[in-house]
Amino acid sequence: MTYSLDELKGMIPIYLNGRLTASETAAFEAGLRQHPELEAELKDFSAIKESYDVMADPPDIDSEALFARIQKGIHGVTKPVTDHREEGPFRPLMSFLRRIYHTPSLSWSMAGLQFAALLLVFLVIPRHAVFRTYSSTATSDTDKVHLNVVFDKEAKEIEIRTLLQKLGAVITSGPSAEGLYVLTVEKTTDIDALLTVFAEAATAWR
Amino acid sequence: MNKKSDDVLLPLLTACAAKDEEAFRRLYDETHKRIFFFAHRIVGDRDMAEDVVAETYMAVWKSAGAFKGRSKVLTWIFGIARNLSMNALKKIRFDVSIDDCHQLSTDGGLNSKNHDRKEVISKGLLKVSAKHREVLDLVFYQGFNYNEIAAILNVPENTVKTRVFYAKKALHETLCKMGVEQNDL
Repeated sequence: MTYSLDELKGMIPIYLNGRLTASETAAFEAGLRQHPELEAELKDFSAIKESYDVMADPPDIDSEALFARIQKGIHGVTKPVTDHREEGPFRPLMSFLRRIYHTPSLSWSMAGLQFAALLLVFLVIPRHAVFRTYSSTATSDTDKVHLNVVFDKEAKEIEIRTLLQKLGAVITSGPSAEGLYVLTVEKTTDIDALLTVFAEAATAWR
Repeated sequence: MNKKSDDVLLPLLTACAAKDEEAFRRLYDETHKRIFFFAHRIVGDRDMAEDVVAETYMAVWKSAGAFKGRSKVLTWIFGIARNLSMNALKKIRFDVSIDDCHQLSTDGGLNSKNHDRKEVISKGLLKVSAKHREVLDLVFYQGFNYNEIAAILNVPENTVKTRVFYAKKALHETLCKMGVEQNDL
């Protein structure tokens, strides 16, 4: 194989460090005879190479101490501190979520969506909607105990009357639009027993 | 310089990938002095060169499993050390002491009579840029060929060839500034 002058020049450093193959070395040495101008380049690089040959040895290195330091480092790599908070079956999910939410653009998008959802809820809810609670208008009477009761829709009037007579209770208010009655019993009545009777009667709930 | 082939180093690196610390120690023993010298030549500071060596072998341990065999094991380790050295170099300003330069330039020029020219070139090599110095080191001290240097520097082979010649030119210019005439070399 023949080489151009530029290719031969490019071979000089590798020729000097002895890494050319046998055929490349033969071609280079033939080229050297053929192209005298290679001689000057070879001389320049030879001077550089010779300076390396006599270059002072590198400073001493404490190989053992350095290896001990490396070992310390690699054990830090292979034995990371365990985060006990993340143990358990949800660890992959938590890691995934943390990765997702650590993306600033996504975090801002989520915040924007949440704001939009809140705004939508605010706009959709009727402005005059009324939240109604069960309550009575009965005045307080310190000698009596008032009980708010809604009877079962299927309960018959006779059943309700029988129950009230059994308890000694009187209807003082109701029914409201939601079917709420206010019953009044004497303060001396055993309330717990009364509630038990209500529960067993299955016609009313308090 | 004694070159360790992949026949020796590849099984050690493979064992490192399996977290075999004994193999890791042997790999370190076989290669760390060359890596240290290379790093020291780039960063010019012993402590920093040791830092580079430590970080290099930690990276080797961590990434041994990622070695794909696209280059030789030694050039792969050199590549890691080279990148770490260049990163370290950004943190410091490396130069030959002014006293050395002053002495060289005020001795009335340098010639073979009053200075050893090899010594002068050695000092000149410390003055050229790290990029030029490293490529000359890799050829003439570490004994790598163009292909291996290309793998270490992660550049095309032709770039390495060009860089070697630019490095030689830069060295000549540096020596001229130091008072060395072309004919003295």
